[in-house]
Amino acid sequence: MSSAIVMKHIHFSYREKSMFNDVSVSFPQGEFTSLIGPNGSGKTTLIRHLIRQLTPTKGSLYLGNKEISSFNQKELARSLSYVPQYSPIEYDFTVYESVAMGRYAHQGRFSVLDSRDHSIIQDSLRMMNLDNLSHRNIIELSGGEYQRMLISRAIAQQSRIMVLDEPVSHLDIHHQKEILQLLRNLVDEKQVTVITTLHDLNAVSAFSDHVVMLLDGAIVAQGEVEHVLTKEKLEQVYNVEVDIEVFGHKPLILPRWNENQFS
Amino acid sequence: MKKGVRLGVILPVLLIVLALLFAYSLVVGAAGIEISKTLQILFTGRVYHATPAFSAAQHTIIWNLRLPRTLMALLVGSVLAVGGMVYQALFRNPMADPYVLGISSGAAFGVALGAYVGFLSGATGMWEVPAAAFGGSLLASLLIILLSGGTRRSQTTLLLTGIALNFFLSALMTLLMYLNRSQLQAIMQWTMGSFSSGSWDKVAILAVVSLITIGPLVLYTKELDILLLNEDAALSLGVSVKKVRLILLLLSTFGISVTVAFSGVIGFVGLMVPHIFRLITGPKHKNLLLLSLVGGPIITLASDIIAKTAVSPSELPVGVITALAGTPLFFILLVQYRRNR
Amino acid sequence: MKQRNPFRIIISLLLLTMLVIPLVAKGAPEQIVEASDYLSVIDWRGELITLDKEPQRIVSLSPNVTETLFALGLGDKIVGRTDYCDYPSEVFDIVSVGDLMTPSIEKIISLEPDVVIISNIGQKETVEALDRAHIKIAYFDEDQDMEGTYSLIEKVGQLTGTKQVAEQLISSMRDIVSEVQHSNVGKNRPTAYYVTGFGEWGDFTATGDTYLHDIITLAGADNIASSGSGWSFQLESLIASDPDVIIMAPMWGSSMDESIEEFKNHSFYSSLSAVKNNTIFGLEENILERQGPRSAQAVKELSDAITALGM
Repeated sequence: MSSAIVMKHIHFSYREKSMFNDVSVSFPQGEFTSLIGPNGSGKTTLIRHLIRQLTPTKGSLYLGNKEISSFNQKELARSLSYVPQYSPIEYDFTVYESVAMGRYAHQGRFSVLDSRDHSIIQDSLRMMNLDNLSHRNIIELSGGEYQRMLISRAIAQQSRIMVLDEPVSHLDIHHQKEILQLLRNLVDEKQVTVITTLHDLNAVSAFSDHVVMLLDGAIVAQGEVEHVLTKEKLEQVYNVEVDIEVFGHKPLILPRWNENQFS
Repeated sequence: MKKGVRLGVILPVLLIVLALLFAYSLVVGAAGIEISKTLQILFTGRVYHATPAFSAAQHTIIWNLRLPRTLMALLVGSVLAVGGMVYQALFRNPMADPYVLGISSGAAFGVALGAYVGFLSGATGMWEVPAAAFGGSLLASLLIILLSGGTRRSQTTLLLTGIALNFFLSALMTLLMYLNRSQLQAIMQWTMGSFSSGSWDKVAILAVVSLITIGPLVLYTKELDILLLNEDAALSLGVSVKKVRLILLLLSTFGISVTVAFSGVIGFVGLMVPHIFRLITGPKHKNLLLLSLVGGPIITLASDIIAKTAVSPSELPVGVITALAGTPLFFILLVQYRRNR
Repeated sequence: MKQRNPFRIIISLLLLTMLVIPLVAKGAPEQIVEASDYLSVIDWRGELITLDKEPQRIVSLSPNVTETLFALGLGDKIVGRTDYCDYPSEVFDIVSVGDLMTPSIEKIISLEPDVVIISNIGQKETVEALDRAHIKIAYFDEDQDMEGTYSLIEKVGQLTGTKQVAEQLISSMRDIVSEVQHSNVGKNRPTAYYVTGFGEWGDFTATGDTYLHDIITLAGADNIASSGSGWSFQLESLIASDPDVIIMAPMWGSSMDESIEEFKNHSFYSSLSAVKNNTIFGLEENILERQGPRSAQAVKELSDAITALGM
């Protein structure tokens, strides 16, 4: 199994505080990887390293077999796309125009969108079930629709890797399932490498191929779902008692909310 | 639902209005030259040959006063409106105006300082005042960019530094002007904006400056759109945010500084014109650029026409008219826009 | 029909008469207490300002008032003046209380003036501030013409008890002006333009609403900017009118020669006949700019200068 991204011996400090101390992690190509850990564990910092918003003080990060610092901005965008946390903007572009921005990395200074670009944009919209909304103003979108649009834009970038930061935290379970399923489809049908932070451990269990677990800036575990989402590791990292039920190969995590639950 | 007026409808209308205003500006003026004579003079060409049809004075009025003045109003309008559009994208704030980084207060300060040290006098040539104004703008803008940590810092820091420097410079300028009443009057009058000093030399310079500052923008409309997203998103889409922002900032600041140097501080245009069009036709900069390019001059030309006809043979400062006329217009549009939402 | 009670009618008529009489009486010429014209004057605000005796300590807050006081022989009574008071030269021995816009109220009070006099070049805020400090202040805002100048001199004279001196001064000024008018009779009136601002600063001149306009007219020239207002005049009107004579005002930061050179070399003005024929000049001192005792002299000097050009 080859790696889409490999981080080797990463050190990173922020304002005199050491956040990563010799961290190494790899993200398998063509798989759905979830990044989990309590708040403040370094998930967002790790994501920011992946999208080159931050540079490690020591160590190296490879996209494929190229060092990330050797990419120029557009090259990077062609290899890796990013879906930020829910951050709506106040400008009323249409859904189509917004998704079309994803084609920027493939355009030269003088080029305009050609028919190929348009068909890619339309495919991306279709994949996210947005075809009938393509002329809607993005300001009028619901939370779920907006998130789908962001992912659609990332798809239009045609990058092998898609990194997402909390894509479903603000959505109800229907829309959570909808979006995670669409991401899953991307992995299964298009072999996109999806790397995402997620809070809901059961969603992680249901959709991920690979899990990376963080605590205080260190990788506590990385690997297959059932090897990472164990009672022992979860209790260590989250400091909450849990029960695990396994259905097929997938664990179901049941936190003990109070003493008398389930007894 | 795609709201808003289509570009294909509104642009031709604007172009016609602009052409009409341009023609009207040439035909109207305190000297009271009949339209037929004006047309004759224009067809005769720039070089004057003695003829009984019109006098040398009339010829010079049309060719050397009205035409340059009108052209200057046109170019200044374009640069201001487009500059405002760029600033609003750079700051991700539709209320950003082109003077927010100290260009206007820097210019006024440059002129006041020039008067104070004797570089400028009441009987100064054509270039000293613009030079002092431009120098002041440049200094102020550079200072703000440096003080706020350059483009590394957020737009908020940039904006706040700009506001602080504006206040400081205005206070300093008032101090300077306390020293001489006649200087004070001259400087205040200059600050209020006027196209009356328009000459062919200045038009030539402005034309080149417009080309340099607006021309490249045609190639940057995609980036301008993407810059409206937050910085992470823009970078992830492949935009070299810092580089692009710096280029756009420098180009637009340079262009606006030159307009202020030649015509004083003309408000409303840079802030409201792009804003109004954004409300009408949406935020895509491919459209906004064209609309601002044409819409800005409409405002400046209309204001200049009012400036020279309202109290003829005296005239009013253009900057005051743009502010007075423009603000209620904006509020009307805002109300309509809110109602349509 | 009800019987009209005659008694009631009489009472009503009496009441009516009682109402009417005061109304009628109001219309009757009142015995107006006339303001005396010695040590007493009504200023522009309508305030009656009266002094008990001839003022020994006067503060002047306007350059033309200062000149007037000196002309009335009261120079030694002035204890305070502004930075802009510069004539006659004796004025520099007098302490200054600041500029025209915001003189120091404290300083004025510390000088313990019997009266403060300010003309329209001053500020209303100053007047109010001094009123509140219970300092006697006379605010004269006269018309922007020669008659207004005479009125100013007369009122200052009236207030300071030097009315006769004032009248003599006014009379001699009138003589000078008449003499100029007489000497110009039969001569052709050249058109003139007065430059107070040009070039980058914009074109400004003595429009019809200024007293300079009156001086130019009295001196025997026709001001091309008479239809303008607020000192502003469009450049193309200047070009179109092409005046016979151009008068340059003193410009800050430049000598008169430098100013005239700049004007002549400026591309906007080089086509004017007055530039080509060199009928452009300036009066060195600022007597034209000040509505005061030297204004009649200004008329004469202007007229002489125009005549000297062969106009």
